[in-house]
Amino acid sequence: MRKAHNDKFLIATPLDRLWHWIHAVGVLLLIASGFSIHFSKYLGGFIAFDMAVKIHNLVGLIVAFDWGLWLIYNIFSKRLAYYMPNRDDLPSGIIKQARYYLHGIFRKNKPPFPTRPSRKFNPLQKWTYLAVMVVLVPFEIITGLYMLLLIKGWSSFIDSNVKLVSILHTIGAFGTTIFLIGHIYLATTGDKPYSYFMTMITGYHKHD
Amino acid sequence: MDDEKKALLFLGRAIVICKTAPKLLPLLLYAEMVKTILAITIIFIGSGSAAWADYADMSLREQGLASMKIESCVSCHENPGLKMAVMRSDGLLHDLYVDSLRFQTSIHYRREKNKCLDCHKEGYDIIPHRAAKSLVCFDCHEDFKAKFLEIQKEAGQSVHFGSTEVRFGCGTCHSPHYMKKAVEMTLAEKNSMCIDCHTDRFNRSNLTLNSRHSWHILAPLHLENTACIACHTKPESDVLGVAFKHKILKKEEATRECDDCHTPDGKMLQYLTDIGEKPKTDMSAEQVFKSFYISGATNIRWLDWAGTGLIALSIIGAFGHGLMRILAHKKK
Repeated sequence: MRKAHNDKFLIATPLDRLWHWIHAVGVLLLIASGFSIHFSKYLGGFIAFDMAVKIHNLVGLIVAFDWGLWLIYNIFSKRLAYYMPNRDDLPSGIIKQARYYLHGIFRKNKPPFPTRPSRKFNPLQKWTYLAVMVVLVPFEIITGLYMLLLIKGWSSFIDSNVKLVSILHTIGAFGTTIFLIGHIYLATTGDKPYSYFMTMITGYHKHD
Repeated sequence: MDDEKKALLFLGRAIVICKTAPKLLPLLLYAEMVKTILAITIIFIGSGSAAWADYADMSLREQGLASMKIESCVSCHENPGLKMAVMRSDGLLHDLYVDSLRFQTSIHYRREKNKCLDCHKEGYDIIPHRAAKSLVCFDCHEDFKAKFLEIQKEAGQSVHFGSTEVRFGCGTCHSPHYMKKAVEMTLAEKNSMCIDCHTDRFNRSNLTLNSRHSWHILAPLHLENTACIACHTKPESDVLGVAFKHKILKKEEATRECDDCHTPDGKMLQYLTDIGEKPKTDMSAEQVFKSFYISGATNIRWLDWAGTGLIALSIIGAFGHGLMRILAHKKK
């Protein structure tokens, strides 16, 4: 791994960025095709129904494997530590960060938890990402795979409850969409509105 | 002489109908038309004579016409060229054409009403035929009157009932010539009651059936395999099945719920089975997925509202926060 030079340091490794951008494109496609399928009754399906189903099934599998990549990479590179809750996070760290978003950010205050090589995420980010990557995404993958196995005939419909599972999958999808809106918006709160986007492309973070 | 004029008018009308047919007619159809024109001409010549006028005044029984075989009527009325010929006082274009093969499958034909004269007792002795009352439903079906009244009550709430163009009666949709029990009807026969009018004659939007139903993800498949009334009527618990299916619902009231039909406990299921439909509840995994589990059954209205509402709030929140940031930084 390259050493940080000047006031920059590497915070997102190539593998970090690879899984992140596969996820980004994949989740956007899943949301678009998923909404087209779910609301086809009202919207007439803005993506042709059969096409939307094919996209959703294929991209869903890709994102599932991509989640696996995230998990294995973070475990073996020990980068999972970035996500590990800390006794200072709850609740004081989270409240501090939330206050910053509600007040400090408008006064151009310094963020309370600036990014450091030892601290990739602020407490609010850490807990959100942990919830998304350990709870929400696996939940969507499991409920999605359950339905995929049924429709591909690899699992029996008898004693299955597709209706309940598809409703849970839909609730998860609403949650994912809300997360994504917040995630993209908060990515504009860096030094410059595009700073964090550049970090996720180059991998380098400029010292705050 | 008045009769002569009327006959001339009819002949003219027949010729117009013939002329509108494509130029390269199949030989068979052409022969049929020649036959009809010949028949009309013979009647036309006959009607000119004073003898015919006297004959026309005689009662049918006296003329011995009561024993007239179907063939004598069908020489004109089995010609498809007689389609959509007459606008009657009910505002509907009436087919003068009777499909004799289809007539023979009707319940009236099978129940001994198999001669034209069994119902059309008078009025046809001259061309054009005199306005005369044919038998109507209650003339024979006195015993069904209670059931018929029930049907009438429901039909009175049908989307058709408010029509200012057409005055609806039983015969508007149910031609007595093709009367059958619902379970005996083919799907084409059931749907022809709707489609015959709503394809060309009463199609305000000028759209095809498929495009009028394009909200449905599998519209062509369902239009080819489903009775129109499957969605355009609705079971009512305190009303006889035979009655509520005469209350045709407009598009805003017709069901759009996939699982009304496609789940083993769907509320339309028993009803559809009663009218001889076979809704698929044993669909393959692929069909279930495509048909409703994802796009229909998961549409719980309050959940959709809650989900899309929260998404809308997040977007508004993000934009609001962003706007405040921009304004705050500009001040500095």
